[in-house]
Amino acid sequence: MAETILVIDDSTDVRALVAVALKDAGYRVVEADNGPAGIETYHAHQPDLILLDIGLGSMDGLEVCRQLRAVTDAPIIFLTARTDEVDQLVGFAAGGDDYVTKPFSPKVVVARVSSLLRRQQRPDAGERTKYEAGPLSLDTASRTARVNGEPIHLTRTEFDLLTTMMENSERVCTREMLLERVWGEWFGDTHVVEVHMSRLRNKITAAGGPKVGAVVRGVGWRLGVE
Amino acid sequence: MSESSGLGEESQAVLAFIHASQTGVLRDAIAALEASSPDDLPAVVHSIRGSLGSYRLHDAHAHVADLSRLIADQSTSPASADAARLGTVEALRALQVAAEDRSVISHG
Repeated sequence: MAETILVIDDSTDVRALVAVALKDAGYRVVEADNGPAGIETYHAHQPDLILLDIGLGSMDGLEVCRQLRAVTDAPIIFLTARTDEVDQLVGFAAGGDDYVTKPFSPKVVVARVSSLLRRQQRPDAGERTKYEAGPLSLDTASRTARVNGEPIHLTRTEFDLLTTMMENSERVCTREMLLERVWGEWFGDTHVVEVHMSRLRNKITAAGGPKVGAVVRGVGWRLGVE
Repeated sequence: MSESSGLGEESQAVLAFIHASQTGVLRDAIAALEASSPDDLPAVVHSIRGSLGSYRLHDAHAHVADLSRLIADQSTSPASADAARLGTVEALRALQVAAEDRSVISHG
């Protein structure tokens, strides 16, 4: 069955173009033209991924993202005409997984959607799914992370970052490696790794866990937990 | 009406949709700019800028991007912003007329 994508954008023309590209790629598309309608449409259709414009009307895309994050772990890609880095970073702080700047190429939107949806596929049978390091434990089959046995909520991107570091706990993870493993095809600012690493670290320490993602200057990051 | 030579990278369905929609997208942009008030001009410009560029209407997008920069400048007076808005409407209308002329020629 085709995966469902929710497109929330106040521009009829933008929604139409995105919808044509996604349907052409085999996805089912549902649409909303404002924030409250987007949240309502989410509950009605339970989409697999959400494309969300930042510059919506009375309830902007960042607030919509915060509200959606309270009820779903589905990947969220921001569509934004604001290209400055601050907006992008604020977008990720709100819980987004990726962003596409307008004007956009429809095939880039489809590529980002496909990449994020691939990341949430279950591991193959026989593949290792459980990892432990100090008070941290991870189960990639159920996509749960725990600190001292207590579950913590991570976004999809944070979970994938932690998984990659725990899978490679004996080595340094380079920026290129993390971008490739976590984001797949990435066309944006490569400092996205720092942003998500910082959020991951803060969530784990706030839950009483260790400071993960130790910087190895000029090389990358290592898990940093024995 | 395409202003781009890079459309070949998209699928045939998307290409066809973009070509078929460009006139309507430009018309929508002109109507939105004409109807905008000083208060909602930044939001309108923000919205149509993304649409025009995504539909590969690069010349129209450039005009609206210029307007966007001007109204974002704190030193721009309301009168100057409105004059620029009307100037942009005229520029987009000229592009629309040129596109319709090309269409008549190619279909004639």
